[in-house]
Amino acid sequence: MVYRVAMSSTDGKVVNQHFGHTERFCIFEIADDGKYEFLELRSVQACCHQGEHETDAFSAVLNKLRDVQAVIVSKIGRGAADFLESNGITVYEAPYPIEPLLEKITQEKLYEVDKWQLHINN
Amino acid sequence: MKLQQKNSILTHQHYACSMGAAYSVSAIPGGVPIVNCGPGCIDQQYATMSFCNGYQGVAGVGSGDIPGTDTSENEIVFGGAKKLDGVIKAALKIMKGDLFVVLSGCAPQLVGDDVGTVVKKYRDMGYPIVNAEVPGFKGNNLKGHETVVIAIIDQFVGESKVRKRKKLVNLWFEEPYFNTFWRGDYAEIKRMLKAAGFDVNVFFGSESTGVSEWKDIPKATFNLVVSPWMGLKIAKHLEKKYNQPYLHIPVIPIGEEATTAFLRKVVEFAKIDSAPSERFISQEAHRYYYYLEHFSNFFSEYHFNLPTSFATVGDAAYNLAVTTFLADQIGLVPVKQIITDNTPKEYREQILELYHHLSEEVCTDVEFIEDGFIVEEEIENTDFGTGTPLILGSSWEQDVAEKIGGILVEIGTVATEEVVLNRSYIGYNGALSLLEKIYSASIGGK
Amino acid sequence: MPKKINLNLDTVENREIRLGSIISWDGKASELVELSRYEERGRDIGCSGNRSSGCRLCELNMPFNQSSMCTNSIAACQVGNLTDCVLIQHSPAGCSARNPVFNLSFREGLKRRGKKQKNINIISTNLQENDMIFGAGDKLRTAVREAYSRYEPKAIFLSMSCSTAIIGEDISSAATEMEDELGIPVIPLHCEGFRSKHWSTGFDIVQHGIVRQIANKHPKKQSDLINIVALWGTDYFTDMLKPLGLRVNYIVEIASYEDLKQISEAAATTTFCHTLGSYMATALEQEYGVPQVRAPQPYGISGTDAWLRAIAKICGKDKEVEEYITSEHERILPQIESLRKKLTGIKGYVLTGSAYAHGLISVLRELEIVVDGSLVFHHDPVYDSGSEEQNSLKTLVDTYGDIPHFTVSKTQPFQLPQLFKRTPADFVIVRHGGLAPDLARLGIPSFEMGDEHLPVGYDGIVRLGKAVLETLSKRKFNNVLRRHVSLPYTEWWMNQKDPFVFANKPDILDEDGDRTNEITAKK
Repeated sequence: MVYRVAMSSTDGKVVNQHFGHTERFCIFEIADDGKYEFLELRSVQACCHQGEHETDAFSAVLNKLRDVQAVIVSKIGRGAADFLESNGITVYEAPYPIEPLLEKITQEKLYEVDKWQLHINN
Repeated sequence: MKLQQKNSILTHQHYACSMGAAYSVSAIPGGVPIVNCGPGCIDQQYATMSFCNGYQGVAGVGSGDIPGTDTSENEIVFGGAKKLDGVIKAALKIMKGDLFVVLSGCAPQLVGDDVGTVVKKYRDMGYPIVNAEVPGFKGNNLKGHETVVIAIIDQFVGESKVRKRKKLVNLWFEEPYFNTFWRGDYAEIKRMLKAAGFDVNVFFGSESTGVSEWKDIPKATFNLVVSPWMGLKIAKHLEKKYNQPYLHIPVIPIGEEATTAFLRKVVEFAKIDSAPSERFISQEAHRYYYYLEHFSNFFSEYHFNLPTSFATVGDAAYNLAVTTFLADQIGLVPVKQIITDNTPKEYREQILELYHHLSEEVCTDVEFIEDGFIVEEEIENTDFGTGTPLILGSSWEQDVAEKIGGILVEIGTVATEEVVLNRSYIGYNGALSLLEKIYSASIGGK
Repeated sequence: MPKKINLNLDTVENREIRLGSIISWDGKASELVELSRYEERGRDIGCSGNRSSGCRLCELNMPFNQSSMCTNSIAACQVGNLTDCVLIQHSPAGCSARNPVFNLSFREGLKRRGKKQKNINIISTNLQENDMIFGAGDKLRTAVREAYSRYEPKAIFLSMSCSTAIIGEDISSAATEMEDELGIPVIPLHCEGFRSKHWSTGFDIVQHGIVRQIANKHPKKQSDLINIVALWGTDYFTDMLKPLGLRVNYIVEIASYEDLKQISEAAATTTFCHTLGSYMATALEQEYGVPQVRAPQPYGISGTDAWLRAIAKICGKDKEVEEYITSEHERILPQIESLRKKLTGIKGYVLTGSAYAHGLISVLRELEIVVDGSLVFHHDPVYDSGSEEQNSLKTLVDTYGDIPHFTVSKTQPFQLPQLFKRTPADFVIVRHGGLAPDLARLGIPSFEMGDEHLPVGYDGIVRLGKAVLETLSKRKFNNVLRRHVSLPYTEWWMNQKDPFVFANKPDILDEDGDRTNEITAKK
């Protein structure tokens, strides 16, 4: 089984961005044999406009992440978190270096523990 | 005989990093340093070079006023050129100055920022702005000083074919702020050279007219380097660029005999009329010996534990000057001399030779040690004879001085037990101040 | 609800991310209280996500900047000042240039706490160009062994600098290895200068390391011991808490290894400044169940009352504290009254770190000094505890009234002329280098708050009042200075009114204004 996780990072080393300010996600692929690898950088339109959160803006980001099961950011607002979760994405707030996070996910099989959904609702 | 200490770990260091050369810019009347480095760098150099160094303070642009980029994670990841451009643009509008020098530290070098292009844009617009790259891992403030001076010469003074002015000389002397007594020393040396008939470009401090002196560099007949090594690189550069010879005097003169010899040497090299200098020397000598004669009563009759041997710890310039004066003129025995400024290797042999020939029948060694822990160990294991141990050094040596029951007189970086304004320890007057200081400390005063 | 991942890392994220801290803002203090939305942030909701209310605490974006302090220096300021542990600064020598200042504070601190004076011992790995290219892991390990053999420390700290972070030095692995080799805690501090917008993150990094690796993992409760997260301040807290039968444990400066170890054994943790101490207090509460004192800081009468009552509650001394407070009021009020007579109407201004400023302003207003404006170097909209009683800015505004010109700005002396044109002051309390000299040249007397504990508690009100009176006389010197010395700023800048004009009118830099600098070049 192969999972994909999107991490919000300005430098590819640390998850350091608020969901609303993210302009690009680092997409990683995780296999359940414990291996993981970097897939690509994916650009999105940052959806935080000085506090006015548009559902349209959230949808636009979601559309870009249709193949992804989990999203990891440093912080996320309640509205955005609810939106993603109601669309089947597991959301984490974890402002830490990327590699230890990937290690933890694969070692503890967080995709099973936290029940990542393989198919996103349309 | 240990000649040198390998570059390794440091504690209780006696210098700042090459970014400290921002204070050389600050010392030029009208000079404005702009720093391109992390958020804490430049304030740190102020701590070592000015605040904890005789509480010198600053005049002009220094301390908290220095504009800087405060390089953050953003600049490390995405490059710092944009931020630097913003800081320079605003600085040119806010800061009062005639010469702007951008000093770049470790971070921009390591991430490969093209600082030169940013600065050149403003220079091409006509602004007096210079780029100097002085990352800390390439050297300390002394090295930084030479780099900054040469950058100003190349980028601000530039090409020039002018007529030389016969009595004009460029003085390359102590490093501003790093040498604790530089302000008084510059005033004293200018006073003497002027009285001897010279016009002097001093470039830094109260006696300088600022950028106009820098612009006049090419007009000088020769360069005068009064320092064991710092400044030689500058003089050699000027020799190539403006066809100017230089005279190198490695030992800063302290006391009448050394100062008189110094002035005569410079006058002879310049081939100017010696009448003004001889008149001046005669007046100064008369006054000097008036005081020395008085002092000799105390010196010969006071019988409570005066020092007989001494150690000197500090940068090459003051170390050599003070050791020579005390050994040659006062007759104190030099027992432990340590140079802490990471003197470039190519100069160490020559400097060692100077210690071997301090005076008739006086030959001593010097060690090049930067690690304060080892310096303090060396002092603790030194035999100072029967008199009270005398250490001329810095505040770092206060614990070891107390341990061995010695007297500490601060003569260089860092000096936290002195407040220094215009005091000088060189030349004619300076020698007398130095004696006052040493002997006040010796009899229990501070 | 978003999930959390706990990694038990050896470091902590910076304040901008963790707390939403900012370094540039201007407005009324009450506005800032509102925008901070402390209670909501405390409940960890983050951006509310609702349409009408969102994150509005935005910084003013300034292209110009003046330098001051970094997280690396803060690490040296904290653990470099321990009596029996050693800090190794893994960097080129320049990052150690502030050590002589710490040496002064260290020696003074030792005197204040009744210990023998001696020099600070901080080692630098003194990295050269070669090390930048080839890495310096070996040099670091050598330095650790050397530190151990020279000083026999009880613990060794390793601090990261800008350059070692950029070249990717792995101090975490080195720390683990050396800890195994030497058998003493070796603690890595990821405190490189560019790590955070503001140096206060440095406190969190250090405190995280101490709680993680030094605090006693098998604590034996000391029910009369109170942790005081402090700097080098004079020991006033012992006398303040003795009547309640309590002892104090000062951390971090001037502490010994054993002092640090016992933090997990204390009955409670408090501080003189929430900006400094809140991370440590919260971490101890979470990891070891040591309650933190959920109360305002001990400044002014009501602040000190509330603080004492909160401590008493934790330690079961409710009856004793009421008697104590009553007798203290009786003792101190006449002294405060007599000072008020001399100080009423005098205009003061505070230029210090965040929560500390809130405390200082409280004391000044207690003395009936007028405070129309103040400046803090950064603002934490919430503290790690999330405890509403610790919302120091709100406490200040609720108890003593609003401050019409409350500025957040990270040590930028170029703004001082505008700030003081806007709110003239008879004196300023400063706590940071690089500011008082500019004030002096403007003719304004200032008091550099060297002893952090001076304004603390009931007696602190009196001490501060007296200090203010002494400061006012400095006016003489500063006026002489003002008559003959000027600030190094252009006339154009000195004529500006808005200290944040570069943020509010960014185009002003392109306007054809003062070009004297250009003119000089043409000479």
